[in-house]
Amino acid sequence: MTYRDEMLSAYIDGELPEAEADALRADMGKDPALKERVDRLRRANDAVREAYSGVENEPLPDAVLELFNKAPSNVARFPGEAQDARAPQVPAGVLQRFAAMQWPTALAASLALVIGFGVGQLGGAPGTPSGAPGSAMQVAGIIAGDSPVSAILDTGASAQMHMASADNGVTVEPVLSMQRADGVFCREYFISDATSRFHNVACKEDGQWAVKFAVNIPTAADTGAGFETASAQSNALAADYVDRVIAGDALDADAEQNAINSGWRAQ
Amino acid sequence: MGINSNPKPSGKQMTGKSGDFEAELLEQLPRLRRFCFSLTGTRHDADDLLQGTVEKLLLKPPPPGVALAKWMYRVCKNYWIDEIRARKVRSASSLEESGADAPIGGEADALTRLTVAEVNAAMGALAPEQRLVLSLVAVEGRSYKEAADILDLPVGTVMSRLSRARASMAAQFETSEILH
Repeated sequence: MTYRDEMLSAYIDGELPEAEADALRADMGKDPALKERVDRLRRANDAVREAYSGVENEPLPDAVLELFNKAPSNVARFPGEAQDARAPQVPAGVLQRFAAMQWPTALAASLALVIGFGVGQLGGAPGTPSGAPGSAMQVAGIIAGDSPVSAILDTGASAQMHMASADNGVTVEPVLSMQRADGVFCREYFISDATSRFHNVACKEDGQWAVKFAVNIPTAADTGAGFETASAQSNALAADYVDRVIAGDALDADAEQNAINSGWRAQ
Repeated sequence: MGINSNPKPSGKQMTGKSGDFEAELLEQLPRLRRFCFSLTGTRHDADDLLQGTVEKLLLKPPPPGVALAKWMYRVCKNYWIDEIRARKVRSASSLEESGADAPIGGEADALTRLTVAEVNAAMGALAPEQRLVLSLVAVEGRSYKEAADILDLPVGTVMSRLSRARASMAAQFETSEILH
């Protein structure tokens, strides 16, 4: 029987019906020229496969992986994770609204969100009702000028941990300081107590620190995965926010000290 | 605890459809990258193609009911075809710079002494439609039915293109054997 290349090709790919494949195998046993035709196509096939194989086991390029950090659903996903029974006291409605938004709307709207919080400080201390003004664990709105958090943002150097409230263990860790395009200074920081942790950006507007961006970081107890995993995501979100809003690089230590000395007055 | 009770090691915790899609896409990326490599022939061009494809995929996930494994190849193919002329110019030069001439395989078989550059040269001589089919079936291990689905072709067309592609590859390899 005469075989067209298409049949031999299909045989190599295992796409020939079993009966035809059996017949072909039988014929190849009797006909070395036919067998060589099949082998020749198979060698070409194997050379192609081998030439391009292996790349799938190599680490993926960073530039491609970074696309996933910027993807809209990543942003929407993270705040949604805070909707856990044990997650701290961010009003659920706010998080849901935040989660429902897409970049860049979520960021553009974050100012509006903060206004929406009003003076919605979030109580973290035992005995302090949730949302009570003046609680140390404030993650949204205008930070009262006489609060310990405001004092730390005013005078605390970045990359150090500062105790905001000794009696309930609230700490503030400024990460870095920067300047907005309009000259207003902003600070990125973590604020934590025994049960919760937030990654925030606040800007000093009209003499007061206003929280512009707050992401709840699920604690190890919430996720079973620990801070590192969650902070990688909050870092990506905060970095994205900072990139959009902030002009130029972060302040170095000297520039930060100058800003501290000047009371973070917009320049 | 709901969604937080079972975190994925990647830290990408999924709360919805788009999250599932991203996780699935991440899993498929190594395969998609290999497909890009077999289409372009150089790692540099492959990663450019991969990046462009992923950008498109993240903007335009598969419609409901369409499997990602099919959708991603299709998006990649369209991107490659769109870019192919500009890409051809580039890969002609990058081929020479790539130094991709390490011998492949260790078999005694004569053809395994072919270099990536030789396979690239033979692949580059194929019509783009033939190269697509050969990449999908020979490199990616897709069935004829799957390849037909991805390329929106009848299975018979897949068969004939594949057969012509293989015959052409075999002929070119023999030419390069003689030249050696």
